[in-house]
Amino acid sequence: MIEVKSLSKNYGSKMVLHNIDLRFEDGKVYGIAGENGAGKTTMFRCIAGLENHVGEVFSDRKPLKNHLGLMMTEQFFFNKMTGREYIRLLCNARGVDITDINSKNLFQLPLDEYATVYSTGMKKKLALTAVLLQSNQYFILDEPYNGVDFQSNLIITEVIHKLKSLGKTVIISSHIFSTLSDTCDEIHWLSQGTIKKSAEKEGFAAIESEMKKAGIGSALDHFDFK
Amino acid sequence: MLCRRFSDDQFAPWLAILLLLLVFYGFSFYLFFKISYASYVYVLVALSVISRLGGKERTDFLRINYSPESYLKLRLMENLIAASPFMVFLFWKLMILPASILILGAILLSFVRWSLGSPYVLPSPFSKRPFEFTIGFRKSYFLYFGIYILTIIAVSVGNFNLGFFCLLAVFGVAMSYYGYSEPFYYVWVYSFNARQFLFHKTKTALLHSSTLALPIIILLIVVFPLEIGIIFLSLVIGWAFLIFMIVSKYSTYPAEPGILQGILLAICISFPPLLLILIPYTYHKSVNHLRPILS
Repeated sequence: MIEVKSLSKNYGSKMVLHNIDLRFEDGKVYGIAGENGAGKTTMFRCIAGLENHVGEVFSDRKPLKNHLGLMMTEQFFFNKMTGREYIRLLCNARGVDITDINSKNLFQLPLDEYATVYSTGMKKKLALTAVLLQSNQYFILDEPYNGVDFQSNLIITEVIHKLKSLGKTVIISSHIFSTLSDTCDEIHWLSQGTIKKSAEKEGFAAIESEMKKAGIGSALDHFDFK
Repeated sequence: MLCRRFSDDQFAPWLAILLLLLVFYGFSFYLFFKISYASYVYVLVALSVISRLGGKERTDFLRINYSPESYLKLRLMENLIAASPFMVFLFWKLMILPASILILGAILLSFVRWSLGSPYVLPSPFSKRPFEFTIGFRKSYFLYFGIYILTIIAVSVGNFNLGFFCLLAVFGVAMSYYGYSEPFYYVWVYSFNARQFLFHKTKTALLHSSTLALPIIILLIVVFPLEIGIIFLSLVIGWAFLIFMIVSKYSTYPAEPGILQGILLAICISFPPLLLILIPYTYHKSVNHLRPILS
């Protein structure tokens, strides 16, 4: 379980997150939906302890960061480091003894090539493989479906279902609502740093429709299409 | 950019440049005083510094923004400016041949673009424990190659000082792996506390650097058995500098190591016993900097 209480974050005078209260239970998948710049990534970074913030983050396993698999939306990869070495680095960092990486190569990645030459989707898959192999209890996956092919999309969805069945807490984000509705038990709509609405399965359609309305609004009315 | 970096570190740029020049010429004098083939080592070091300006990303940016003529002029100018402190010293020492080789090398290197993004994966002996030595080795394997060749020359001509320099050079190259700060995520991801983290980093660095130094140590002990004391002393000094470099890096983390760390390192190079005070002091600072991230 992870609990976020009164979480706020500002960069100078700009308020990015405002008074967020959320609770993430074990064995459930949570979605954070929102437009670009809504504060999803910042919220994840605050939960992980990568950003200073106001408010508190609790977890039943302490310290939270040592049990958290964090997949950033754009992971940084070192120059001249192979995919295999990246996995080793992340596993070593958590004291996980990793053997026979080939059999755990979920996405059939070319692990002996430099990670920096991977495509966007391959980088995402590598980052996901590494956090899965760390044996975490909590997972924050920032835009896991972004840039990956159809087949890998299916595998990622299956992985999330598997994590749920193992009692793990999974939080994923997307700015595309439909990618969340298949996998999540609960979706929170984050907009301009605040939680606008939360819903369980039966309320997804209502959130989606409100998000569409707010997203498109009158944006096209004044654009001069020719 | 350099001036901005000095200003960020609260240093007056003119003072920082003056200090850097003093350190540079101090080191140059020391090198020529200590070893016999210093001029060749000196030219090699200079060309290695200049070659860093020819990285593909950097030169691509210049080629996009400047005409081919301006690009070439710019590259020639920056290579010659980078070579100038070395040239001044060589001319002052009346070493015309090495100085000419350096000028020619600097001019030729302005035509060269290095592609660091080559897909060829060089096997690294440090692949099991990423990341500093794993990627550092791939970026500087040619320096180790040069150092090993120089060691063989030192042994074959019976020049212990050159061999001694080679042993220290291994640690010098390894120290360069700790000259920049990794992204926050790569420290955060460790499930260690600050002290365990520093111990882990130090242990890995000492193990890997000693592996690289081992062939030189064996050769020097076999050929110069009477110098065994100095050989082991230089090994210990190399370890101490490497430890200092690691704790120094994390004493400013997540900020990049700054001019102050550079100056402290330079002072320690001229007076190594100072490490006995600076290592514990900087270690304590590192622990304080890492604690909020790794607690």
